[in-house]
Amino acid sequence: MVHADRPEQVLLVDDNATNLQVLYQTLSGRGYRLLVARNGRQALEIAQKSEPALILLDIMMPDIDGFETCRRLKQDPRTRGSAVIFLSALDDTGNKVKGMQLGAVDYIAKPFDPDEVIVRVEIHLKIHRLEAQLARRNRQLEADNQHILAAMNEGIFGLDIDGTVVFVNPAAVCMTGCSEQELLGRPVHALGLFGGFGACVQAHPFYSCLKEGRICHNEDGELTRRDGTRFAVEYNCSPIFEDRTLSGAVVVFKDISERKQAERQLKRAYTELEKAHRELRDAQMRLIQAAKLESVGRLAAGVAHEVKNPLAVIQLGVDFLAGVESDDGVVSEVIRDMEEAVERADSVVKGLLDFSRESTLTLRPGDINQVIDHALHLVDHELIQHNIRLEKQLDEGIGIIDLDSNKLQQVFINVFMNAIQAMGRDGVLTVKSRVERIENPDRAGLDRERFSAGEPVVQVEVLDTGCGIAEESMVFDPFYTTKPTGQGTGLGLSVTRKIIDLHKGMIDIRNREEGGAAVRITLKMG
Amino acid sequence: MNQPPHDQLPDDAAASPEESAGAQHDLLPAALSGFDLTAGLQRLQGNRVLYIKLLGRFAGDYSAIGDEIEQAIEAGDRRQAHALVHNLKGLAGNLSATDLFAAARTLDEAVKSDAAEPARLHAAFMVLRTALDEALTSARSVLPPDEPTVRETAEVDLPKSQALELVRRIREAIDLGDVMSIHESAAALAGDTPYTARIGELADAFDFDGLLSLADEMEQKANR
Repeated sequence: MVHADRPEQVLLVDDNATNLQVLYQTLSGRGYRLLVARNGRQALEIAQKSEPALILLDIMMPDIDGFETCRRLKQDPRTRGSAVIFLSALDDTGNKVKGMQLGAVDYIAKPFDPDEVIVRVEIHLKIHRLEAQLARRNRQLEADNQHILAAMNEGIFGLDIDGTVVFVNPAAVCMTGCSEQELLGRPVHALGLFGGFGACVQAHPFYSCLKEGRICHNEDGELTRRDGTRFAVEYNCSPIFEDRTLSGAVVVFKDISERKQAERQLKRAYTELEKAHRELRDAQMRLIQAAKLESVGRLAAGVAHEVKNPLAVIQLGVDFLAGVESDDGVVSEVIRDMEEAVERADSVVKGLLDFSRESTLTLRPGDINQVIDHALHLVDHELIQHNIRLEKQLDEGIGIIDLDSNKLQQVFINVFMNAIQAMGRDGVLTVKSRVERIENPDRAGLDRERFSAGEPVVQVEVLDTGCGIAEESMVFDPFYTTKPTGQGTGLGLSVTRKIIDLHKGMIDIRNREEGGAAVRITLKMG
Repeated sequence: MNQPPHDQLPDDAAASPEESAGAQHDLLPAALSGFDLTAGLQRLQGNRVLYIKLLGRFAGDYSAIGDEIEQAIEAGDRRQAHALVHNLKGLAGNLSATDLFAAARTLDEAVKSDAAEPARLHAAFMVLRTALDEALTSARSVLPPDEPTVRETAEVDLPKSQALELVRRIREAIDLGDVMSIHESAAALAGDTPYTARIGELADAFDFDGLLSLADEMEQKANR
């Protein structure tokens, strides 16, 4: 070791005092401290204590010769840094080669030329000084490197060309939950940290980096800790080249679980915002629809009122004419047509009045199945006439709920009649009732403002095998009808929804995959 | 900046404190049989005092090595012969004993080779023996006739705390192989006493065992 504040030490080793004295004299007064040993054993002891920069070593000595002394010096970590120059009268090439192979830096034959000895000693001391400076610089760089790596938040693995972990920094130890000993010296794929690649070494992305020298980057990786827990990481595996030869790779990875969590929160917030926006838009649409219905209702009421009185006069006139005796068959037929037309007009007026009337409910405890049965009884004639088979699946356990039986009966008659008309001849009308517990109103297609999660409801489903509906979104609009002119007012389902809305329930209609339409009415139980 | 031991300083720096240095300096002739003095002095950064000291140590420590090598060769112990010759070769090279170095290298090659015939070994050894004798004779010729007498350390007492502190520092420096510290501690704590000279002598010879023995002696004396 070189100390700036003390001269470099040179150890002279020879069993012959005269030879030592000649050498001592040669090197005296040149600025370094000369140490002396009379044999190999003494040289080893002194070298261990003093760590001289240079040792001038005789070969032929009793007990331990110079070669063995050199071998032991180079084996001992305390002394292997000392440069050894053999100085011997054994001047054949074999001895020189042997000396160099044992780690000596030079060989000087006896009798030596003093100038040559001085120059060689100076050169090797200079080399030793430079090596010591280089070693110090390397240690400093290594220490700086260690400090930087220790201060980094990112985990770092150094891999050799076979993928064996040869370096880890403290952050990597902390993140993986493994000790340094558990990581070092093991193939990275066997650690199972960057999972998902199993035992297939070739499938591991780091290996493609090691094989092809390409940078491997993953912004959406996952790291499995020693305890099995996982967290999101972003990692980068970069190849290391030494003299243009791929020699390994360095893996830098960072914990991005917080970022991922923030992203999830942002996504959730965005979803909620989107939903709120959708609900707002629906509410707006409902308000517009309500306002539109109100306007239509007012118009209908006005029209009905104005049309009803003249229609009554026409009805009276037709009744009068029907009572006058006439043999003319044509007159009788005209009068019958007029009667039918007045009846139809009266029906439309009544529909308009139903639609526009300021409806209120008269809620009483009742049995929904009884209401359904009664409505079915009233359309029984139509079912027979159209050859339609009825399938009833009514849940007897529903119990009593608050309802306006008259209005709900009107609802069911409307729905049944629509189904019968949609089927024409031959078909199956299925009516189901049951109690449902809503797990998620959104997923059940129900309005969250009317129904809450976990709430029990009564659902009545009416399924037909008819032609289905053209546009689901418009069927509840007033005056929307697909029936031939004169066969429907287009107000039935509007009135139906109005009644269901008054019950704070929901009605929806959809086409069935197997054909026909399905109407679902959902009512509150309490 | 650390300072080299006093007796290893270049000529001019080493001259002043040691009276004997001048005398030794004068003993080194312009030429010495068996040695390349120019190359030898260059290797020692021109330190003539040290060169003479090393020649003296060579003359004292290696006078019997010729016989030891001969015995090893005759006993067929080539490993031991190689160790001895190799040691001599290194030393001869460092001291620039050119003839001896050349002879040692030839014999070194021969003893390392299993195929070398005894006659060849013997011939090479005889060449080495001649070069060795010549180098030893030359080395002895430059030695001062009488070594300066160093006062006995037993005659001198250091204050106890100072002595124990010096003992502690010597042991610590030996542990680190730091000869310079031993010289510095001796100068600081023993001053101009026989201890400083004795410690310096042992330190210059890298005689750690001798230093430890001296430290034990000093400790016992201080604690007495």
